[in-house]
Amino acid sequence: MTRTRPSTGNDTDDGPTRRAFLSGLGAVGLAGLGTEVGRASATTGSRTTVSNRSTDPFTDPAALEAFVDDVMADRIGTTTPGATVAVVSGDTPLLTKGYGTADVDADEPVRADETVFRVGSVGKLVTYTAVVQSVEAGVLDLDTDVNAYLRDSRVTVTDTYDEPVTLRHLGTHTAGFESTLDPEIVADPDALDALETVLADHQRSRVRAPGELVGYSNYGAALAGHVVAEAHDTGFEEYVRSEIFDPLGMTHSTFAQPVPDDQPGERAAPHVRDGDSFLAADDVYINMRPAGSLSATATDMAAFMSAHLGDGAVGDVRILDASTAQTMHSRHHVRHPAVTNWRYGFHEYGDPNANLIAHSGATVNFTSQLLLAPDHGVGIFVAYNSNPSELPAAVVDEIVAEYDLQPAPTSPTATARTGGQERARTVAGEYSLSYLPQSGPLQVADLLAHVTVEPVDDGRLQTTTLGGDPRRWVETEPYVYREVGGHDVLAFEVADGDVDVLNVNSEPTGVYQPVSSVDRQLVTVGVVGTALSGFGLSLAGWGGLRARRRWTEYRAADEPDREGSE
Amino acid sequence: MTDEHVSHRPAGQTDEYDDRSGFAHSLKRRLTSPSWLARAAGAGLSGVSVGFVVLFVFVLGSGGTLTLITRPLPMQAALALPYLVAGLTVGTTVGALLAWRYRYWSLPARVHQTVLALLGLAFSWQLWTLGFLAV
Repeated sequence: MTRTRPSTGNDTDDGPTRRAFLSGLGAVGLAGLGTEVGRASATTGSRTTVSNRSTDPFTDPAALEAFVDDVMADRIGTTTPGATVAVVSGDTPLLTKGYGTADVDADEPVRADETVFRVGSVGKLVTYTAVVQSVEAGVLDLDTDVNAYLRDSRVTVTDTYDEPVTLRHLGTHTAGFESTLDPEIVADPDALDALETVLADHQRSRVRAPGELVGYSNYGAALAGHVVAEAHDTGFEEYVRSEIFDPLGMTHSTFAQPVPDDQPGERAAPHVRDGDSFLAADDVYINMRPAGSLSATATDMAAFMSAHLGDGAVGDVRILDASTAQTMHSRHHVRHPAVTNWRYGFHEYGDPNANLIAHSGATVNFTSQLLLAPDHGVGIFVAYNSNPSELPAAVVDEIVAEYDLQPAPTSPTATARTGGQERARTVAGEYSLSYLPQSGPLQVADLLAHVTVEPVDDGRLQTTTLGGDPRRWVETEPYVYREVGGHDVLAFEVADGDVDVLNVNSEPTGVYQPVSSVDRQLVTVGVVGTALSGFGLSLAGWGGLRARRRWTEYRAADEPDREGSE
Repeated sequence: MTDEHVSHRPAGQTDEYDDRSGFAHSLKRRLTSPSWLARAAGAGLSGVSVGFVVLFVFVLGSGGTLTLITRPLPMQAALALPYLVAGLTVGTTVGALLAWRYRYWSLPARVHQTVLALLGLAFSWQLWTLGFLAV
């Protein structure tokens, strides 16, 4: 079987430094990233996305295994020391297989049913499944102020805006909490606090009215988990164990940290790169547990994916009513009709018309990707015990392309509407991401993530990122541009001749907003570069002057001696 | 009786005492000299600014981006430096104003001090914009 490296529109072609920096930060609780001419008002009512189940693409499981083996062989030992993979078709796990080593120090192989990986933010899908379970049970409602469920808790959402924060906002990352990227990571497990304490002590500011824009929030996901726990008067970890893990037989899965010694399975070690090899690293702990502390095997994640693909049931076991599962898989927030939008907890992935839903995850030195193709009844999960620049999504993309789970990219056809060049000039500028921190030193991440949009010939656009390759775009309808040779889409929202928001298809976890002139990368680089050059030259000048004086003094002191000796 | 004034300390000890006394005097004179302090602030600003960038990039490069979140000691040290940069910028700027007012140094030295002050203000503005100087 031949194999090519496909582009799904989720590749960003970043330079290694920027990519490494941003993926490193992404590793603390997210992974994905985000257009509409006239954006449908932020939060929509639940809109059912009908799953048109087509034929099973995996007619030959042996060929699937051979293909995945081939894909992983390119990466084990180079991209990551170990990986675990699960591919399911409906309730049938077609492939659950470990690759490489779980721990380079112990030289333990990865076993899909035994080796537990930290799956990071993929665990949010479990959290949001718990939310919709609770809605089904009648103890929660997606559109009620979450404060109504927090009467017995120290946690409360401030009344910064008239509109309350609801569970629908939390499940679509539209609550408007300021992002710090950090889900309160600690290096020492003794520093872990109770979820209620963490949420109360690390309250996030509300920086946008709820439902307005997508801004990925670990705090919001953790708050959703806490609301579930409060509604059931239990602990979050206890709830998901009894209502999701136990029924699905996910015996190796836990949100507990560290993973208890009596938990079945072996833990994969996190790894960092050391030249051409890998070193086992210390693990870290996520204080906002529902946002990213899940540890699981590929076999367990296969069961979880099958439950979602089976509209809430695997065989005789049902964790969600079919209508609840369908509601969760329906759109709950539309950024723009032309790009990927938000289902409940899941975001859309790849081609905006492919009906692929996904979530990525990471915990500093673990990375993971989960994707469901409901139309094909297919689920794919890939996790690494490292955090390379090429993430597990690349493996998922290869499987998606090989088995035609989304249409191949086509050459975009330019819109027949006139005025393309003027529209291109209108959208030209520099943009920053909504979910990156706007305070503290992590603003550096925001600066590095800026994307520059420039008009080129015939109303086309070119986008560049720091250290990244330029990408070309063709306007297919006013203010909507498709990538040349990929699935990615830019959709601008323009009001009164100015861009309000840029939605990028491959960045569903946020939206881009124009930056002011003084906040541009060029200004920062220019000012900092000039200042440092000036300081450096001054230091060199002083050093040179001092050395010259010393030399002159030395010569002057030396002169009489010489004269005397003569 | 000159002999009565002869010190009974060994000759080497006398020199050491004189050196210490001379150093203390010199230090005191410098620390109370506005022109010397102005130059020192400019030199400090240059050194600390370059040192901050070098240390920040080194810690980030060796410990990864996680260090911005877990804040190990070297990162804490690096993140403390922008405040020192801001303080030294104030010192350098005040020094430049005094230099013009009281005609310290030669004209090129005054221009140099002024350029350092402007660079410090620009660098501090960027440190503030990038969140290194939280108010």
